Amino acid sequence: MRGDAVHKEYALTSGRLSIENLKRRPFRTACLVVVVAILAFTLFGGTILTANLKQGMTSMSERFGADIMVVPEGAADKTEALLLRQGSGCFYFDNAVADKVAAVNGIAKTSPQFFLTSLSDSCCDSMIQLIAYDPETDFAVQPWITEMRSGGVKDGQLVVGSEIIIRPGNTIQFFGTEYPVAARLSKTGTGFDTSVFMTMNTMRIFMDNARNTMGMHFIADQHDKNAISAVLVKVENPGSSDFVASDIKYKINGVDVVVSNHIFSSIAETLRGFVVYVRAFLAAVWILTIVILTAVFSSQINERKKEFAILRILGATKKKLARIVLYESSFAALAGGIAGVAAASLIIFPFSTFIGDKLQLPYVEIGAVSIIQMVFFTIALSLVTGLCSSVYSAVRVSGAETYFTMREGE
Amino acid sequence: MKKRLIFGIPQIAIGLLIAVGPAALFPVCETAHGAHGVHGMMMKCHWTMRAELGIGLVIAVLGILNILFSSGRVRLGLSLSLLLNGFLLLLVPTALIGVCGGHMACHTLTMPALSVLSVISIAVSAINAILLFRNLKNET
Repeated sequence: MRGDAVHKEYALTSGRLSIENLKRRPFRTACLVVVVAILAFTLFGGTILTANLKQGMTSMSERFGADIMVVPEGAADKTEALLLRQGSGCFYFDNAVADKVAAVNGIAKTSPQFFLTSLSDSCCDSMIQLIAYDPETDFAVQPWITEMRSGGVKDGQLVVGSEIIIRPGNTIQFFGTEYPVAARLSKTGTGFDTSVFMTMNTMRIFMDNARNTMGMHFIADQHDKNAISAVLVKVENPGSSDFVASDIKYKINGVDVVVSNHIFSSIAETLRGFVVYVRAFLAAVWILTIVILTAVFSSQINERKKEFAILRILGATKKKLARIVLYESSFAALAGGIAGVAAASLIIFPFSTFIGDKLQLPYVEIGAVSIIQMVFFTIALSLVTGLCSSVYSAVRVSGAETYFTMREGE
Repeated sequence: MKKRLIFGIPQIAIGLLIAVGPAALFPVCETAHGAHGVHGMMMKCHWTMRAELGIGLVIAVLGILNILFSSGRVRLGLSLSLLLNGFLLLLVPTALIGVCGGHMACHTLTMPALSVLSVISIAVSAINAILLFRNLKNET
């Protein structure tokens, strides 16, 4: 029976006719699918990007903890870069500054931190930011650690950011010595994700080990074990951050202040600009898609007048003709929507770290439920766009007089 | 011939991208630090790049053969081998050899690029294999 064609019988429903029509004109169908796919790609990609940036912003403001950071003079930019994952840094002043800061009016809590940078243990050259906190006064890091691990962290243990790679057996090696990792923190989209946290005592052990085993010297050694990198400040009245920051700068020499609200408002401003740009682009693509699809459907109806007239003669009702047109556009729009979402997913999800790095803004991926909602929303909007674009053609087809259509051109 | 070109050309392009990409287009870390990395240690991504060079060339050659051979059975066999190569391509940077960690270039750019290319290669060869299998089934 080789070579004999196999004929399958189908009921001549509107859906079947629409699919056959689409299959019969593959180039036109491909063009329709591509137009809708571009819309779906832009919509899904733009929405996910914006949502991830908003999530990063929320996560950063939740995790920052302090209202003000007091750092050595000239280190404000380095501190902002450290927080926004644009770099790492180690800078020091004497820990007597912490007492002076605590004496300023309007301050509720202060806590010192010590920064160190290190090469990671494996093949990599990426700098890891090491942050030591004082467990007795800390109000920024420990509440966060408690979410991941009840009971806190003992001296000698480390807590790693979400993107730090650790060894099997939950250890990490620095300067030739292995340290146990007690917990891994949740993702923030900030420099904390690539940082390692420890208590001040652990940092002392850590530096002593490095000195003894590798003969290392640290910049902090100049301060004779009294060095700290920053003083975190929680103000009594959250609205008074600017005033307290100015007061600190005025009363204490040799310091800079980083006000968290300023960082957030600067990021929020960038984010707002990005969202406006994405929305404007989406609106333009959406209008263009509707115009192109309406033009394509309208012109094809003119070409296919006689085809529809024959269907009417064969017994198809006017409603059935309208349904065929609407089904055709729906199937093309559905295929385009799915293709667009798939294409955007192939870029947005695998390259998310790369995108986050390039944007240099807090970037945290949203949850699976939100992603699924966006997938359905994008496909639904693609479908609605396809349907809206073909409504005019469907009305024209159903309103055409068969007799006059067949006699046209005679 | 048209169908052979439609399925063969993307595979050749993917194969060449995989072979050349990790060295030039979406480079692994060693382009920045030399093959021995920063600690004199051979980096994982170096071996991934070498393995992908071989797999990429095999995929490109299989793509060419897919265009040259007209027999459906031969092309079905070639498509299945392309499918398996696609999975191998995906496993090399993700599981079999891997890449460096953190925010290294090979982790943020090379691995995602290779993963996306492998997914496209798997999808194209799977669709081609299904269509060829259906045609062969209809012929018999």
